[in-house]
Order: sequence, then structure tokens, then C-alpha cells
Amino acid sequence: MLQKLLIFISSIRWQDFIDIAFNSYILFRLYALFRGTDAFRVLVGIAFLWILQRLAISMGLILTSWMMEGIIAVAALIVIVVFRNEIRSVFRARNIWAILWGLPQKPMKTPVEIITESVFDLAKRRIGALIVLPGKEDLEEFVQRGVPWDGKVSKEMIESIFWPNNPVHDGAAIVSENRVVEVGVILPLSSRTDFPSAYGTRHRAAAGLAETTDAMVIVVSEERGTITITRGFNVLNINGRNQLINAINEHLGVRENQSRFLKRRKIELRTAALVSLLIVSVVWFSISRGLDSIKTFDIPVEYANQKPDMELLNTSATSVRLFLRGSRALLKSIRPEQIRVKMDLGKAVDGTNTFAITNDNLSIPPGLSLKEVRPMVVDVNLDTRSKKNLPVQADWVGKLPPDLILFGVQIKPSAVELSGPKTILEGMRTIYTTGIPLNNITGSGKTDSKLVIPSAFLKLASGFKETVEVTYEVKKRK
Amino acid sequence: MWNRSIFLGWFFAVLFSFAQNIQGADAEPKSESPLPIKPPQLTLVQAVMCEGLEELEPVNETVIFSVANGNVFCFTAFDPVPEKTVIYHHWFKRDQPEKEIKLGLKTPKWSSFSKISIRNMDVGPWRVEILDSDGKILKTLRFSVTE
Repeated sequence: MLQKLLIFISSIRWQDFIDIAFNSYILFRLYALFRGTDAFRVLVGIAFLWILQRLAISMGLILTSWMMEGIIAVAALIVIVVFRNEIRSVFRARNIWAILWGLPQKPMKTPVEIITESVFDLAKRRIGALIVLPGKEDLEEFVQRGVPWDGKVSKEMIESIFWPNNPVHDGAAIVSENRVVEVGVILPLSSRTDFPSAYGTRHRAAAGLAETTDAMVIVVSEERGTITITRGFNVLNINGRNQLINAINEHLGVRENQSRFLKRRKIELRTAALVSLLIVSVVWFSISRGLDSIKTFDIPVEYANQKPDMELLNTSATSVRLFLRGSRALLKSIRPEQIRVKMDLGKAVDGTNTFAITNDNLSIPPGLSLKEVRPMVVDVNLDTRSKKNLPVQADWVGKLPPDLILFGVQIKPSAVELSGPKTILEGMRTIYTTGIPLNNITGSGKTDSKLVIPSAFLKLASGFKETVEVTYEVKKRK
Repeated sequence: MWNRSIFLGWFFAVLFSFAQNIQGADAEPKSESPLPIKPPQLTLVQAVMCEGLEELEPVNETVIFSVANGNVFCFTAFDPVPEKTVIYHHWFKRDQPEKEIKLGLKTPKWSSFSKISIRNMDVGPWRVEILDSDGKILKTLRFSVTE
């Protein structure tokens, strides 16, 4: 057992280590970048579906595996379309270094106390206010006409934003972490009909955003000096400071003990790295070392480096059957286009050349090896390209009217030059026209006729046309 | 200008007569040792494809032979025939040899012919190569056998 393990370890190449490490890192980076987003949760769901599909295949559940495959394909597309904003925000917000290397930053603490104090102060003074605390979703698509602010949250600042004489006091202020990022923002209005009559436009706007996103909105009523929060479809009237603090903390997910939170985060990332390594190792093992099997591929033979003065006449085999050995998963994923059988005709000579098919002639994906090839050799018949001048002869067909005699024929040109393989040209003495019908001939005349080139390897030399002019002389039979 | 033309004319006349004298002087020894006379060579004077022969003359020269006619003749005439020799008529159908006929020739001149019988399977383009005793092609005649 130990010996087997040692043999296995010694058979792993350094390229395999790089392969596993690189892909593990990519997987880990995807986790680090997308963790906590809805897109990540859906991706996990797709991965789960994929595992189910593999299980269905191995159990022979044909319909289930097809259905899973279809769902995965559609889901992958949906992820890109539906979560485009999340994906975009992940990549847009970070520089290339942060994407490749950076770890999630320590979250900035939102000054919950300051916000609470400000809100209660505004309520006391009966100054209307709308404060948006975003969740994980990007709000860009749902809000309009904001004025960028980017100021540190302070009681004075919040109060000044909603001061009745401030031009932006009617809109909402978006607070992210410890900064007011945007003010004067117009929120979408809720179309609910079950609101109490006391709620005005400000409440309706707060509910509208909360219904469509995961943000929490704090509303301060101008008329009654009450405080309300909206989150999802919930509308909650706030009666005390602690209630508001708890609600904000719950929304932001703020932990009481920050160091404990960081420790947990570290453990989570290490676990993620380990799981990534484990997943990639398993996939790699199943692909490259999994169940050893053999698969046959019929691959067309390609010929390269043919000398320009040589013509390839025929070959004993146009394709060869390769028996490739490798893991079942790898063999299953290989397409015939990924395998090539290439013969170098650079040193080929006139006549029959026999080429043995070896690993040197093969291009096969890594992880596979050649077990057998049939046929083991390929005969390639080559010939030198040559030229020959051949007389043209008319090929008359049909029946000449019995009272006529066709006694003279002239063809223009009387001979043509053909180029092609020497052995074919050597056996040729004449080139014939296509059949020229005799039935309609009533007197002397001329006609055009095409030449019949008897082999695809032959071509007319430049300057010669495929059509010749045939002039004939006819007289009455005595 | 006129004087110069007269002078040039006179000069070329003298030159011409001088050249003639030289040529005459060269010609005389020739008559004493004449050049070897080329022996007469076998010459093909007539080669035709015809439907038949009458009194050793071709009848209905043509290049189209209907199978209904039954025969194709290749007539050849040689003049002179310096010595008794042979010639060959090689018949080909679509470049494939069909028949080789050896014909004797006698001095001083001689006509000879060869013939083949044609059937439906012979329809197509034909040629006859006329060769001397050394195998040199003297002429190629082309014709077609039709329905």
C-alpha cells in the first residue's frame, strides 16, 4: 500500500503541481471576490446541480442527466445576465492587484450611534429625512439624480443635509460605511395600497426602495416627528434609541466582538483555500489519473512539407485508428479535432514512400498515451510534376445523316499542354473533346467543344483554354 | 550628288563582277569531285482513312465510320520505295492498342492498306499510326467509330 502510494507520488510531474496550484488559486480567488453575493450562492447551486448531473450519468438516469445539463446551461447564462451588476461591481471596484491578490478588507464600521442621534434630533425638530443604508446590492439601477457627496458621517452633517433650506433636503441621503456618499437621491415609490393614511410620499419612497433592494431606509416624518424604518416589505415604527440601534446593527450585520469576527474570517478564508485545493486535486485526479481506459479515434492523416515539384497521387490510408490510453474522464472530453496525425513529406521521393506512424507523427493532448495504431504504416505514392504536349482529337457521337460524308476536321488549337504527375502524363497520347453530336449536322461548319481532362491531378498549362474550336467539312455521298 | 551616285553604281558593278569571277573559280574543282548523292528515301505520299477500295484506290475518304458500314480501311501509298521493306499500321482505340498490322512494300513504288471490322463495342475515337520498319511514326490518322 505504502509502496503504491510512493509510486503514485513519484509519478506526479512538477507540471501537475503547478496545474493544481494554479487552478486552486483561481477557485479561491473567485470565492474571495464573490463571497457573500447572490451570484456566488447561485454558482454554488449550479455546482451542486453539476454534481447531481454527474451522479445521474453514473447511475444511468438519462432523462435526469439531460434535464440537469439543460438547467446548468440556462442557469450559467442567467447568472451572467441577472447578476451582471454584482459581477461588474466586484471587478470595477478593485484594481487588478486587488483582484489577483488582495483579501477582503476589514469592514469599516458604520457610525450607528451618530446616525441614531441625528435621526432622533431631526425627529425632535420635525425635520423630514430619508437615510438609505445599502445592503449588498448595487442601488444604481433603482435610484435617480443623486448628488455625489462623499463626506464623513457626523451629526452636524446629517442635520445640515436635511435642513429645510438646503436644496437637496427633499431627496434621500445614502450612507455607506462611515460616509455619506450621495444626497438628493430620488427613490422609487411603492405601489402598495395597504399603507396607513398618515404615511406620505417620503414613506412611500422608503418602502419602494426597500421592496426592490436589500437596503434599509430610515424615514423621519416632518408632520409628526416619528421615525420609521423600511426593510424588505416590513415597515416598522421606532419608539426608542435602542430599537433603532439594534435594527441598524442587524441590517449591517455588525458583530459585537470585532476581533472574534476577524478571527472567524481568517479561518473561513483558510478553509476556503483548503477546500479549493481539495476540489481541484480531486478533479485533477479524476481527469488525469482516474480509471484507466482505452478509446479509439479515427483521425485523418495530414501531409506536410510536400516539395513543390511533387504531386501526391494516393495513399494507402486516408485515416488511421488510434487506441489512446488515459483516464475515462479525460478520454470522454477529448474531441477528434484535438488529435492530429501529421506526416512529413520533406524527404519523400518519387514512387511509393512508406511511413511508420510513431509518437513523432502524433499530436495528442497531455495525459493521454498511444497504445496502438492501425495501420502501423502508411504508403504514400508521390510523383514528379511534369508537362506534356498532347494532340486534341474530336470525340464524335451520335449518327451522321447517311447521305453525308464528314471528310475533314480541323481543331484549334490542335494540341494543348497539360501539367501533372509524370506517370499519368506518360500514359497519355491524346486528349479528347467531350462528345460532339453528329445528328444535327447538315453541312460544313464549326462548333466549340470542351476538353475532357481525365484526372483531377492534371491541369491545362497557362495560356490554354478548356474549350477548343472544331471546324468540319461535309460533302454529299455519291 | 549625281556624280557620287554614278561613282557608287560603278563601284558596286566592279565588285559584283569580281565576286562572280571568284565564285566561278571555286566552282570548277567541284565538278571534278561531286558531293555524295543522297540515296532515295521511303516517302509516304498518301495516307487516308476510307470506307473501301476500288482498283487499289481509296473510296469515300472520311473520319466518321458508322458501325453499319462494318469496315474501316487505312490506305497508304509510298513513292519511292528504294528497297523492299515493311511498314506497320498500329490501330488504337482511346489510346489503347487494338491491332498491329505489318505490310510489305516493294520497289519502286507501292500502295498498301489495312482494315478492321467494327462493331457496336468499338464506338469511340480511334487513331492509326503509320510506322516505318524502324518504328518511326510517319503519320497519325484520327477518326471516330459511331453508331
